[in-house]
Amino acid sequence: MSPHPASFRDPDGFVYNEAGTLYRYVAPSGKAGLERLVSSGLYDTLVEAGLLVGHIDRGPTEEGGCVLQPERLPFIAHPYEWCFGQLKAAAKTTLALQRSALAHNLSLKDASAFNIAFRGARPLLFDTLSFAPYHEGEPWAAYRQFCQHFLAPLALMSRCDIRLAGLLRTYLDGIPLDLASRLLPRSTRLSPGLAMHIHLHAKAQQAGGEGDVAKPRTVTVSKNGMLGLLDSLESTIDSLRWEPEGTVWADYYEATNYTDAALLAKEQLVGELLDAITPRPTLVWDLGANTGRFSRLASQRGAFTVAWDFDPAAVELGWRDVIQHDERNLLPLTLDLMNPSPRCGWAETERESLLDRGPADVVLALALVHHLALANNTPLPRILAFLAKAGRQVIVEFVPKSDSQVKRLLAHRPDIFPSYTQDGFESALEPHFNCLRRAPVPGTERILYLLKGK
Amino acid sequence: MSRFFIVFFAVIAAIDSSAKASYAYLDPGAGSQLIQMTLAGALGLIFALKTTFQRFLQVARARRSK
Repeated sequence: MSPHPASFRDPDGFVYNEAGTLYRYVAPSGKAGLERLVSSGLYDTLVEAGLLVGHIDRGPTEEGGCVLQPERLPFIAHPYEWCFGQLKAAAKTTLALQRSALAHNLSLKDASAFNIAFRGARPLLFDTLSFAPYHEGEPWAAYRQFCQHFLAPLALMSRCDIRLAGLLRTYLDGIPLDLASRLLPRSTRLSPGLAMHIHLHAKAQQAGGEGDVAKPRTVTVSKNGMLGLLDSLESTIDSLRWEPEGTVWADYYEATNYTDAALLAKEQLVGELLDAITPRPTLVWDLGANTGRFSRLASQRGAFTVAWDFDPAAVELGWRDVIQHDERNLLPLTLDLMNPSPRCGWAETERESLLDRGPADVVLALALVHHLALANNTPLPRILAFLAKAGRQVIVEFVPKSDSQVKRLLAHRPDIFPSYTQDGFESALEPHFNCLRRAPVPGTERILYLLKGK
Repeated sequence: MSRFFIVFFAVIAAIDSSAKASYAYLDPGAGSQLIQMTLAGALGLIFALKTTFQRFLQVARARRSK
């Protein structure tokens, strides 16, 4: 039993994979927290509320630990792939969990954003070992981590620039508070929550490191004080907002040359192609999904669908739709296909890349290829080779140069893409795929292909 | 400014007499713990006042609706 590459920090246990099944080993040191979690009734309450992943107890181990078999989640996204609303929802869930834990004499010993997953609209904690017995007077050990993983990035996204979410990919243990403090505008010093939990906190970290090592300071925080701290963190997070507007992609469907009839015809055609796929897909990736209009064709057919897009505004709007309809099968996420999530973290294995988490049963690549090929100069053979790695079957749309969208892309630059033709596209797919179906999109000059990997 | 913070936190740490070690595999950060203790004192008081006021409002509303 070898631990999952990301499961090595907590001595109380680790996650491992055996014959395709996921297990969680709980060391003897972690049993007190687990036993109190279950015996206090908190486990049942949280699982029923969808806030904690459920598990089956697979019994004790020889050295006094035990093994759990957690429920398998359809897809694990990384925090740097979440939109603003998702990070905010995950932050609020973490605070709600800590409050519930305190009511049962437990405390979250960590507050890592990497411990939260999304079941569609519902964020949930999947690290059952995050709960430890609480002793009156002890501070929240995860306060610093919470501020770095949640509060600092949310504040930067809200008060500076939404693109600063990308810092989470560089700083895997959260954004350093001194950096956040320097980047945030001076006006945030007048916001009590941000002044306390980021600016003052950053100062305290600098001052706190100058103490006498031989005489470590001790800290006492009453339970009421901790509830006050959680309340303040929550109201600070509630006050942070970001409105998705002013980007090119958020109003894409309104700005394109599609007529309503052509859009409906394309939806019907994509639906037919999805229905033709056997076995029925359980995981679908929609690449360049915008707000997830076509992703819903897959999610409504029962497949867990990840709607990837590089525009934070489109992803945010998609997420708000997911929340509004309490969808469980659709997860909008941010991804720049020209620079997808890499393997990173310790030994370059801790956090999986995009392709490590695939292949998906089906990849949708609708109105995408021309952007990669013509706006980003990526040759068609490379695009098709990537799609073959990403999905077992692919529904891909080819948009010819005669289409007005392509004309717009080429309007202000020389056409250096002589091989961007339907023939060029079909010869690029040939080494990787068998073409199961080829169908023109009614009312347009575009063509949809259903491809199966060789 | 930083000297003020050093003195401020040293005073807070000196006032604290009952030692409570928190169980943590994470490094909670010495400065983070000190600021948490300082903030929790004030925020705990505000929280207590807020919850008392909310309870008072609930009772008042319940009496009015009877």
